[in-house]
Amino acid sequence: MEWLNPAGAWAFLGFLPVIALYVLKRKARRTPVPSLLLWKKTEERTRQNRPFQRLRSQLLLWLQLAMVALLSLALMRPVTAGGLKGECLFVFDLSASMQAVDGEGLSRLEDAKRQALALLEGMRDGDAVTVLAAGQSFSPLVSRSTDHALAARAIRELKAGNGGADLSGAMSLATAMRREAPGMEIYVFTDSAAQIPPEANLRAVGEGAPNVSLMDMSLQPEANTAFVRLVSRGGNAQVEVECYADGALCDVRAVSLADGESRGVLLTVPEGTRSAMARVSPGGALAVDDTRWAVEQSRRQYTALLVTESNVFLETALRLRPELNLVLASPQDAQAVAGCDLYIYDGVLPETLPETGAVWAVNPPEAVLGLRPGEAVQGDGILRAAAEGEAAEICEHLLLSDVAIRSFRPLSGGTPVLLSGGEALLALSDGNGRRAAALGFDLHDSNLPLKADFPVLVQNLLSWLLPDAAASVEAAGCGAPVSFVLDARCLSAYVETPDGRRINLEGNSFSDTDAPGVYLLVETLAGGQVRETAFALHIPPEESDTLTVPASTEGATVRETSGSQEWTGWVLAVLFAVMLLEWEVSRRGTGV
Amino acid sequence: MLSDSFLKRLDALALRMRHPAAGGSGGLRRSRALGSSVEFSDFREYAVGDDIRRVDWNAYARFEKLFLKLFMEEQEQRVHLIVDASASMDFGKWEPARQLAQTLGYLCLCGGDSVTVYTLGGGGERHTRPLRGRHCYPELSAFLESAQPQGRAMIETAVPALRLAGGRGASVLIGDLLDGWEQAVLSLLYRKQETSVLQVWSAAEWDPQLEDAAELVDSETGERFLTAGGYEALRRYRETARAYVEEVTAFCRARGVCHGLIIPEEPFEEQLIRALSAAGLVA
Repeated sequence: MEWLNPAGAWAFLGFLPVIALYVLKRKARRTPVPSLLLWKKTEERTRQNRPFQRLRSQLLLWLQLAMVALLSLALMRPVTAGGLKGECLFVFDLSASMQAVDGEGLSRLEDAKRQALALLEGMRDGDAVTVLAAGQSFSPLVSRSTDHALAARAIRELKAGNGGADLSGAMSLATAMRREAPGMEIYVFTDSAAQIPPEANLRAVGEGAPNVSLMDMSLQPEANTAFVRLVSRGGNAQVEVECYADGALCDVRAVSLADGESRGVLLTVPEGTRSAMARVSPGGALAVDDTRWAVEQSRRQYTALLVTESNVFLETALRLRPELNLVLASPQDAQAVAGCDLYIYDGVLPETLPETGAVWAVNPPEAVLGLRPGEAVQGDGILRAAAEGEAAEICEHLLLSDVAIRSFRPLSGGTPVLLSGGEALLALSDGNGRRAAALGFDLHDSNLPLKADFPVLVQNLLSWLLPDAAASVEAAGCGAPVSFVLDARCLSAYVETPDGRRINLEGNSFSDTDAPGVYLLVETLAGGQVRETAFALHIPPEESDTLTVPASTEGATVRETSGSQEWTGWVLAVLFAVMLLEWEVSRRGTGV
Repeated sequence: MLSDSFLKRLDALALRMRHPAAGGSGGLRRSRALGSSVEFSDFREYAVGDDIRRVDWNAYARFEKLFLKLFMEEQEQRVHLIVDASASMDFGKWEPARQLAQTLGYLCLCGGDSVTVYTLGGGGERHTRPLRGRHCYPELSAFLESAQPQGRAMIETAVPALRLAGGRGASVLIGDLLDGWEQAVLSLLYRKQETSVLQVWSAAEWDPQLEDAAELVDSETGERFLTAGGYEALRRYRETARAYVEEVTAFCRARGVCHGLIIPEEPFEEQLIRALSAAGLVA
């Protein structure tokens, strides 16, 4: 026998009032009698006048106690069937928004913990419990353990991160675990409107508290300004924005925000400021988005070798990039220059490619780094941009209308970027950390260089071929791993976190990004040169929305669909029968 | 007032006394005294001054001695009807008690006895003059009709204080016998009264119906008492009531006192005759 709702056992407390009815005396009605003599004699034998009477075995009493017991059993929802267990799986959203403090002065995560611990307390001994923490990644902290103390400790030690939460991944894992344990109940504690399986129970935390957050910040030291954008959610706000330049307070602004308003504020910073921090107060429900940092971005200088007979279009487009030092070489001298960051070959290829540096081959006569040109074909006159991944980034802002190409050599291998008639005109390859691009036609055989799309395409292509370390983390946020594009000459590198820790880089990935603030990437290059790149990480912007909270939902319990037999209906039927019997006994006055 | 038809039925009955009448003036009831009735009692030798009309001349012829024939004296019985008229009788008991007294009074008057009726209630003791003869029944009946139950009777002190005329006699105590009745009965016995006790209870007293808890109020003292009511409490009460009646019966039997329990039913006149017969008071 199992109980779907063990908390229903509280109804057994109903015994107390029933017994009290028999122990406590009822309110008396005044009745005149000839004499109390006989009543007193009776009382002498039974001691009726005491406030309590001795509990005697009476049929009515037993019937009423049986009714209470049956009612309690019905509330506990007894079930019988093999395989059913009171197993529970708790999924906790550990995203930054769970740090928000709502009306009761309790953070959302603390509220979730409180609810989960209450559920855990209601579980029977021997029931397994799983605790799944869903932060930027998800992992089971306690897996199908019957040690409730261990689970409680794991729940109490949960801390919300500063990133997002991969709830969908966690739910996939939870669903898979439930397939192994069909009786498992899933409880999801979150404040986000994530899609959860219908069989899971959503325990929404939070009340939709108002919040003011700093969304964007940039530093323009040459203009002695810093720009910050504020957003108010959940009501009008009167806030104060403080600005610190390299740790020193430099500006304070009072800002009025309407509900839902997003407003930019230009702050004044001293000349030569390298990093600036803005802080808003009062910041509302979520504290972690009340501070924002911005660092001066210094672009790295690159050297590019352009090997061409003559290509004014290409040369002009390349010179638009100020950090690019362009070196021109004739095809005969293509092999003479080495140590460049980028090699651009227009219609030619050297006998051997340089060992380092990115390569862009325009109309290559033969295969280059896995990109193989085929036989020349006529295009259909319609250029189409690839829509996914890196190719989409390169095609960003391209119109590609009225572009004519006399003929091209379709490229195979790599990732197609521009296509015509299903064949690749422009393709990318990124093997062994070395990036390469190939354009399958001569620019002189096309009107593309005459179009506005051409410089855009070149700049996009250069951004991909020559990634900058700082640019690579521009879109990064707290909690998510950061992949740096290190200098080709880098011998070693480490990252200094906002709390001053130095973490050596293994490879080019860095994952200790939970703390918001300014990080410093320090690269040691060959020759002893040290290059520092500062970048700031903040919580994901969607986490600042503390106003939108979903409603709790009850999941369809597995128990009801697993072929088990629930006896609640039968218990209620017996209860009804006992109730009728009790009524009849009471009516006849044969309760002894 | 008893109906005429009932009174006619009573004419066929007579009050039965276990002891001879003593001390009353001429009546119809047999007495220990020797007198002029037709009932022979004994012989004794003639003494100077005796009435020679009572000499048994046949005995003189045989024994040559003068013997007198002695005959029994018929005297009246002095009957005292003592009726409890306290407030406790006002629960369906007063009317039966009054009819009992009227019936007994009528039988006494018709039997040539002298009857005095006493009522003991809150207003103190009231009584009639000694009544004799059937023609006094209306007076007796009116006296009882005029009495109303009220207050406390205090029969344990009121009965010993009664001035019962004529020494020996018969006394009938009519009441619910809930308080002080033992002293009253002992007092009557001490005063050489042939005592009978008629205990009148109402049906509600014998078998009360209290479905719920009740605060009971004593009709005479105003004292209050809390009872749980319900089946169990009533069951215990009934046990107590029956034990009490048995106690009264045993007390009376031990002292040669007639006892009858009357719980009025309809029609009461039929029950009345049966009850008096069962108590041995009428024949």
